[in-house]
Amino acid sequence: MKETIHVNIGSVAFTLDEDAYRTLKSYLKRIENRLPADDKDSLGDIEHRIAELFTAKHPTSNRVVSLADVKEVMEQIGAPEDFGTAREPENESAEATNNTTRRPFYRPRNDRSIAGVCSGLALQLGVDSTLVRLVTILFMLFGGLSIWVYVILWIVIPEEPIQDFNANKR
Amino acid sequence: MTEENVKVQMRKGILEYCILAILSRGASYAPRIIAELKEAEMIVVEGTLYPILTRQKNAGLLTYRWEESPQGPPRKFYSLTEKGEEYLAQWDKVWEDMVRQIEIIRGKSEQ
Repeated sequence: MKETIHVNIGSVAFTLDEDAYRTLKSYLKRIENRLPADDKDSLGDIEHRIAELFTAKHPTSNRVVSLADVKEVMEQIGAPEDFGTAREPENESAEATNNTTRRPFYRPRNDRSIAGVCSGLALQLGVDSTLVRLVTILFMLFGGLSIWVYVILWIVIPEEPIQDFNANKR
Repeated sequence: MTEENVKVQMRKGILEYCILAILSRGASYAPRIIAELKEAEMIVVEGTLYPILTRQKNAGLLTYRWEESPQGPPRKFYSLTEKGEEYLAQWDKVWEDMVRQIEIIRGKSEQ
């Protein structure tokens, strides 16, 4: 099971797989960064062309554009580097950290001792879950941290949604 | 200037000339221009054409109109403006002169 995203490319509606969407979005962003600052048309033209290629590939309206489709189109349009040098430095790692901070706060299903509160916290902080558990226990024993904090977090933080590893239950 | 750089600069100029030459035969839209350029092995990837078209349009050499397409979104049909035609005529002359000059020099060095 994959999540899909509805988008408008060159004023045509498409449904994209999530990974396809993310790849295409960063691709267009990198091209935009390489076009001259006064060029207001080319990106739209390229989007139009991409819409045309997707339509040619999926003539029926309800087909889903996959990552493979996006990669094929990217090959045909050309690498962002073909458009010249970047105007602003591209910070891929900054984007990656943004992604992790935007990760929803869940109690994971696969790594939990009691309810997954510490492990969810560890994912958010980007540290090892054992470390979070250890610190929590130490604070509870010696730092006056109430066990109710854990219970409240248990209630407040949603459980991680079911992933495709048990999709057959659906 | 490295050899690679010279090639890139020359290609850029010649590519602009070729686009004008293609459009002098009548209005066309990007995918068809791309097909011709690919056939002549002038370009490999499609995307780089669009910034050139935009630049030529902004310089007043080209103009475009929207036209419905039988399948998919409407297309931009590009055609030469009067200024574009004049510019192309200049290019033709420059090109012919250049080729003749090079031929003369090369003919001499072969003797």
